[in-house]
Amino acid sequence: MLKVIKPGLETSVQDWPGRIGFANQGFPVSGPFDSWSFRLANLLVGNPPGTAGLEAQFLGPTLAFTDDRLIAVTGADMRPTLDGVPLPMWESVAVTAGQVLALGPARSGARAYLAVAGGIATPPMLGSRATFHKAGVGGLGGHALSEGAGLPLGPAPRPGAAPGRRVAPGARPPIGQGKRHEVEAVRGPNDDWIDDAGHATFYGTDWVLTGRSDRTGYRLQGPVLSFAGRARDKPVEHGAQPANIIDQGYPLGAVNLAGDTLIILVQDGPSMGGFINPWTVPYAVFWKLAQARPGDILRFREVGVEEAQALARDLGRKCTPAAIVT
Amino acid sequence: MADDPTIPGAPRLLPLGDAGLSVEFGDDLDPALTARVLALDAALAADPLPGVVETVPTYRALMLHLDPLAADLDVIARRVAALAGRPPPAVPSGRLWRVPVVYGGEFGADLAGLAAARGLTEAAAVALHAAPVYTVAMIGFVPGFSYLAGLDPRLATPRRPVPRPVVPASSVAIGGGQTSIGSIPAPSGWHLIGRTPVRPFLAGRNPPFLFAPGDRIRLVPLPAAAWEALDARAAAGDPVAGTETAAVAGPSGGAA
Repeated sequence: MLKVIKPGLETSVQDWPGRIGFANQGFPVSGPFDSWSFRLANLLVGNPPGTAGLEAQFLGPTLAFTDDRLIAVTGADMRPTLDGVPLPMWESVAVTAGQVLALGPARSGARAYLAVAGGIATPPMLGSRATFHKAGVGGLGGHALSEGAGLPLGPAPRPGAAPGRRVAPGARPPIGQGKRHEVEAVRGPNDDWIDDAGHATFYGTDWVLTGRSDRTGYRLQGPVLSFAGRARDKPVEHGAQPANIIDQGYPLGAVNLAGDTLIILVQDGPSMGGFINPWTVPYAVFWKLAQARPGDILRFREVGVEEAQALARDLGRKCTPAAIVT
Repeated sequence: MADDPTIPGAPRLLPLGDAGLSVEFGDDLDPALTARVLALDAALAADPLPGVVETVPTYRALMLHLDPLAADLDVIARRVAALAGRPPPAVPSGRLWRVPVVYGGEFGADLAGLAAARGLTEAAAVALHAAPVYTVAMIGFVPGFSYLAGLDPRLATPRRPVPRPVVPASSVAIGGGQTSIGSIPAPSGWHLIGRTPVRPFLAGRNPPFLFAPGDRIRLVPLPAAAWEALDARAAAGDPVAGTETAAVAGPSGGAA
């Protein structure tokens, strides 16, 4: 078991790919925001890459182990310590019963991941352990970790993986202290509601990530975008504002124009709504969003569907046991 | 990925990043479009395509969530084009639900204003809203939120200029030409005209969801005095929404 001494800012149980099969009931996929770091953590401790682990945001938790386990911490650098001694990240480490793992504020990046051999064994709900607190589903009682809670662990694999396993060079996400992030974005589905000048503005602007950003949506601050004619000359059912459209499905990664505010819809985002989505950020580069911090600059780079799919294949190749070296 | 000009009414295929595809049948709120969406959804469910992880029917498009490592967009496009040409079934396949609603007052803060704006008495607006048999066109935004097709155009009202940051669970609302049964508390710019004790989604209940896209809904006005008891039963896991057999629209339903 993992005992929660301090929960951190908002630490949640997640599994990958998350909650699949209930999109037609309005459920978001949830799951880890930086699935690259998450999957590597699991591979380091010998788990299947999607096994339930913890996602810590901005300020990590303090946890006590009640049994011996192999663990790995990846993602944002929250200066993890084990009984006060710095713990190496991106590496499998053996902990023993009674030891205390503490994560602090993120020094670079925003989200850190903890994998434990055997995984977190909270009860799955709707096919997943991923936490979606708005609907009270997954995690521990539907919510983020709270002080004093105990997280059950699954049976540790026997024989287990060894300590000292590392991620191969080049196989882990380059999370740094830089404040500028180049983020790929594909045109569509509603790109024909924006005129050429609007697209040029979108791809040519240093967008500022605002503090009103979370696992639901990333709100961006920047210039006003201009619309194509059909945004104004449209059937009345589409609504009064140029950015209004008959309520429609929102893809994961939609760059949603909510009135005049751009919001990237991410892991826990709404599945439908009445605003246009002129662009989509590929799931394969969500790790960049997950590790960006409020005040950082996002600059979008236009890619086509083929390049977006190539990014997905490339990420898939990096999240295999071949990424782990001993 | 362009339209196929050889098929009349062929849908537009719109890629959604690396992991999605929208099959768009048209540009209007039109029950015929929604029927085509639901028919394509049923056809894909009966014979799944590799790489299609799940599907989300909406008013005028079917959204496909894809596994980019397994999905072949060309194969999917050909298959969708073939299936989309089939006519939708003539008889609706979904269940018919009776859903009790307390209209107006504290349960529907915007009913009086909406009725006045439409030149109706509150009673007339309620009668118009409770008259149709609606179709659940799509479920989403938040879990269980059900968009109902079939609103009487005399009740259509532009959305509120400033959305509310949160509205109560299970609110019944009108936004433009659409009406809805809400689920969990969520932000909304729609006009609140009533509330139902029915929880379209309730964590821990078996089944957790009541409605499915394609189901039909009859709204039954409920006196405010009946709210408390019914709401308590619903909170404890009773659906409190009755179903009628598809062909008979008699008052055989449960709670209402």
